[in-house]
Amino acid sequence: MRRSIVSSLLVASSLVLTTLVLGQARGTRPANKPKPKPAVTSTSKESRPETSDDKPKPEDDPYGPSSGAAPASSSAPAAEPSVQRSHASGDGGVRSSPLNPRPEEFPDGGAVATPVDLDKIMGDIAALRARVAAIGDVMFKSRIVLRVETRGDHAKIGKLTINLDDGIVYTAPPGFFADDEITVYDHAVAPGRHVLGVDIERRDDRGETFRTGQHSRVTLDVPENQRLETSIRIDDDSDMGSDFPSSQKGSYDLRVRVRAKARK
Amino acid sequence: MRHRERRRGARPVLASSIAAVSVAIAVAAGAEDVGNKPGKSVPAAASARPAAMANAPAAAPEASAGTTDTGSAAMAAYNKALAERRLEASSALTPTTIRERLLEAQELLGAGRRDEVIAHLVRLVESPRFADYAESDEGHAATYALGDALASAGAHDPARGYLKRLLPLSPSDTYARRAVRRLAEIAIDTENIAPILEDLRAVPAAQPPETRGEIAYLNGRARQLGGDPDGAFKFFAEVSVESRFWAQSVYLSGVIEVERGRLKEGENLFCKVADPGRSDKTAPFFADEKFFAVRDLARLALGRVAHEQFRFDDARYYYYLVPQDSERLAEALYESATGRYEKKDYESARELLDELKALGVHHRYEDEAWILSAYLDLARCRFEDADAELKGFIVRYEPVRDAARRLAGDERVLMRLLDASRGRTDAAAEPSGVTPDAARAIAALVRIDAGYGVVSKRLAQLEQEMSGLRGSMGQLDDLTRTLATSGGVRPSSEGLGEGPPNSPARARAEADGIKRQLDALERARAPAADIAAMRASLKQIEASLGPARDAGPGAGSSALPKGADLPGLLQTDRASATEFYAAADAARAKLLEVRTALAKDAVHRLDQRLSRLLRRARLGRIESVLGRKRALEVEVEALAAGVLPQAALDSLEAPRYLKDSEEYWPFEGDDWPDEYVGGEGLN
Repeated sequence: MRRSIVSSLLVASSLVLTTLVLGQARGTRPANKPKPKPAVTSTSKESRPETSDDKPKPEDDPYGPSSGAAPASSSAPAAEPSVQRSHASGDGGVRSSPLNPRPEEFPDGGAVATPVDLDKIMGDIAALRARVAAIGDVMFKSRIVLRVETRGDHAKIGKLTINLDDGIVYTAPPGFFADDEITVYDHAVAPGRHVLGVDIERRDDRGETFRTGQHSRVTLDVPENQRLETSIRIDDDSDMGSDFPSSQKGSYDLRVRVRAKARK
Repeated sequence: MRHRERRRGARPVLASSIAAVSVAIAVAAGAEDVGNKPGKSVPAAASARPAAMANAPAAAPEASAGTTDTGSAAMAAYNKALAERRLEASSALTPTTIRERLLEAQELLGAGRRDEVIAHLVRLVESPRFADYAESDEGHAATYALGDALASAGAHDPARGYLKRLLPLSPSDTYARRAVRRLAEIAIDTENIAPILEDLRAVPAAQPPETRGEIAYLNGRARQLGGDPDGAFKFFAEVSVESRFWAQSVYLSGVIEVERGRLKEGENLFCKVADPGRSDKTAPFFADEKFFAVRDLARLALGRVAHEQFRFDDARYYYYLVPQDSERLAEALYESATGRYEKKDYESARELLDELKALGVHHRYEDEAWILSAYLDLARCRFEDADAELKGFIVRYEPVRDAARRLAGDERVLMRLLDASRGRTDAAAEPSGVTPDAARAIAALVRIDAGYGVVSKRLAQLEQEMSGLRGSMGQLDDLTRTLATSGGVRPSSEGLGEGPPNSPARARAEADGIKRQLDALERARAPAADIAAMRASLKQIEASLGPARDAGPGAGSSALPKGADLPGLLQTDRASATEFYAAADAARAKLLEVRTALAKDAVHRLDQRLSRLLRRARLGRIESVLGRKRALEVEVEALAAGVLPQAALDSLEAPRYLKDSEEYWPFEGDDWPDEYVGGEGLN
C-alpha cells in the first residue's frame, strides 16, 4: 500500500515537472514578425482616395480655369498614397467622412476693406448734423412734432422711415409697432412749408409673400412761432394673406393718414 | 464637421476650422457666424510697424488713427456768434438741469430717436456754461452719454473724442471705467484697434483688474489680427477671470495652441471655458449671452480636437454638451454624427441625424446631413434606401445650385436674398426670379462672411447719415435765409415731386421688373434668340445705370461771405456739407462694391459646395448599384454552395404571407371541416 502511494506520488511529481519544463519560455523571446507595410495603392472601398471626385469638373465649376488640363502639381493630393488610419492611434474606425468640405468653401474671414476715410466722413457728418440741429433749436421758434400710430392685427412693419424735406428723421427699428401714438420727432424748424414723407413696407404675418408698400408725401405748413403737432396713422386692413391662399380672392388696404394741428 | 482628413494635412485645417468659428466672440457682437482666419487680415502696413509700439501693435490701417475731432471748435464759434447777437445757446445750467436733460436724453434714446439725442447732448456739452460742471458727476455722465450715442450712430471719431475726456479720471471712477469699456467695444466692432490703444494710454497706471483685462484683451486681439500669435497669447494670458473678455481670451488662446499643433494644450484651454459646471451662477464674472456663445464654440472646438485625434467617444461627449437651446446645436449634432460614422457606429450616427431632423428647423447643414444620411444607408447595405435618398438629393439641390449660379449674375436680387437670409425673413417673399423653394434653400444654406454684416451695417449707418445730412443742408439754407430776411418764412416753392434722389433707384426698380418678365418668358419657353437680344439691351441699360449715383442736394447759395459771424459760419458749414456729401457718396459706392463682392463670393462658395455634394450623390448612386450587384453575387454564390439565403428560407414560412391583422395557427393534424366555410360535407 505504502509502495503504491510512493510510486503514484513519483509519477505525479514527474508529470508536474515535465509540464513545468515544457511550459518554460525560451531564454530570449523572438522578435515579433513585423507587420506587413500597407499597400501603397489600394483599391479597397474604404481606403480609396477621396480627392478625385472632389475636384470640380469643368462643367460643374464655371468659375474655374477654362482649360481642363491642370498642371501636374495640382493633382498631387489625388496621387498621394492612401494610407489607412492606424487602429492603434484611436478608438475608432478607419473611414473618413465622404463629406469633408474643401477649404475654399469657407468664408475668407479676413478684414474687410472699407474706405479708409469712412470713420472721418461719418464723424464729420455727425458733428455737423448735431451742430446744425443745436443751432436750429436756438434760432427757430416754430416746431414740428411727428407722432406715429399703427393699426392692423396681421400687418408687420418691414420698413418705416419718416423724412422731412428729403432728410430721414426717423427709422423704425425691426418689429416696430405703435398701438398708441408715439412721438418720433420733435424739433425746431423754419416756419413755412415742409414736405413730409412716409415710406412704409408691410408684410402679412399669415403669409410673408403678401406685402404692401407705400411712399406718401404731404406738405405741411408750419406757422410762425407755433408748434405743429402732426399725427401719422397707418391703417392696414388687407386680407390677402388670409383670403387669397384659400379663395384666390383678397384685397390690399393700406392707408396713411396725416393730421396736423398748430398750437401756440 | 470640417476638414479632418489626415492625409490632406488635417491638422492645419482643423486649426483653421476652429478659428473659422472663433468668430464673433472676439468681435464683441458674437452674433454673426463668421470666419476669422488669423493672420489673413494683416494689413500690409502692420508688419512694418515698429516693435517698440508695445501697446499698439496691429491693424492700424486707416488714416483716422489720430483724428478725434468732436467739432467743439466749430460749436464754440457758433456759441460766440450767437452770444454776439444776444441769442443765447442755452439757459442757465445747474447740476439739477443737467440731470433733467440727461433723463430726457435717456427717454429719447429709449424711443429710438438717436439723432435727437446727439443734438440734445451736443447742445448741452458744448455749451459755454458746461465747463463749470464738466468735472462733476453729472458732467461726466453727459460726456459719456454723448460719446456713447455717437458711437452707436457709427460716428466713431467724435465718440472717441468725448470718451477720451473721461480716461484721465481716477480708474475707479464709474465713468472712466465705462469709457474704457465703450472704447474697447468700438475697437472690437471696427477691428481698428491701434488708435483706441493709443487713446487708452491716457488711463492712469493703477487700474482695476477689469480695466486691465479690457486693455490686455485689445492688445491680444490686435496682435492676433496682426499675425503675431505669440504676442497675442501673452496678452490673452493677462486677462483675468474678472474680465468680461476672460472666456474670449481663453478660447482664442486655445485656438492659437491648436494652430501651433499643440492639441493637448489647446484642449485644456477649451476645457476651462466649456466646463459644464461653469454657469452664470458659479462663474466669478458676469456671464452674458456672449459667454454662452463662446462656451458653445469651445465645446465644438473640443469635439473637433478629439475627432482629430480619433477619440470619437470623447468627441461625442463634447458635442453632447452643446445645449438644446444653442444656435450651434445643428452643427454639433451633424459633426457628432460624422464622428460616429467614421467610427462605424452607424446606429448612433443614424440616431443623431434623426435628432437633427427632428429639430424641424432650417440649418446650414441640411444638404450635408442629407448626403451623410444616404452614405449611412450605403454603409449599412441598405442600397435601395440610399439610392432613393441620393436621387432625392439630386432632384432637390441641382435646381438650387443652378439658381445660385444664376443669382451670382444679378447683384440686386442676390443682395435682397442675402439680406433675407441674415434677417431671417422668408426669402421666397423676395422677388428673385428663382422658385420659392430654391430661394428658401439658398437663404438657408449660404454661409455669409462676417465682413458682409460689417459692411452692411456701415452702409446702413452711412446712408442714415447721408439722409440726415440732406435734411441738415436744407436746414442750413433755412437758417441762412432766416438771417438774411430777419426771421422770414421758408419759401413754399418745394413741390411733391419724387426729387432727384429717387430717380436712379426708380430706374433700377424698373430694370428689375423687366428682368423678372424676361425670366418668366424664359420659363414659358419663348424663343431663346429674342430673349437673348432683350437681355443684351437690358444689360446695356444696367451698365449705364451702374455708375449713376443718387444726385445730392445742390451746393447752396455762395453769395454770402464766409467768416466768423453767424452767416459766415452757416455758409462755411453749408459748403462743408456739400463736400461731406460728395465724399460720403463716394465712400458709399466703395462700400457697395465691397458688399457686392462679398455677396458674390458667398453664393460662389455655395455653388462649389453644392457641386461637390452633387458629385458625391452621383458617386453614391454608383456605389449603391455596385452594392446591389455584390449582394446578388453573394446570394448566387451561396445558392451554388447549397445554402439557401435567408430570404428564400423565409419564403417557405407561411406566416410571412399573413397580414398584420391575421394570425397563423399551424396545422396540428386534426381537420375539422365544420370550422371553415365550404368544408361542409367534405371528408
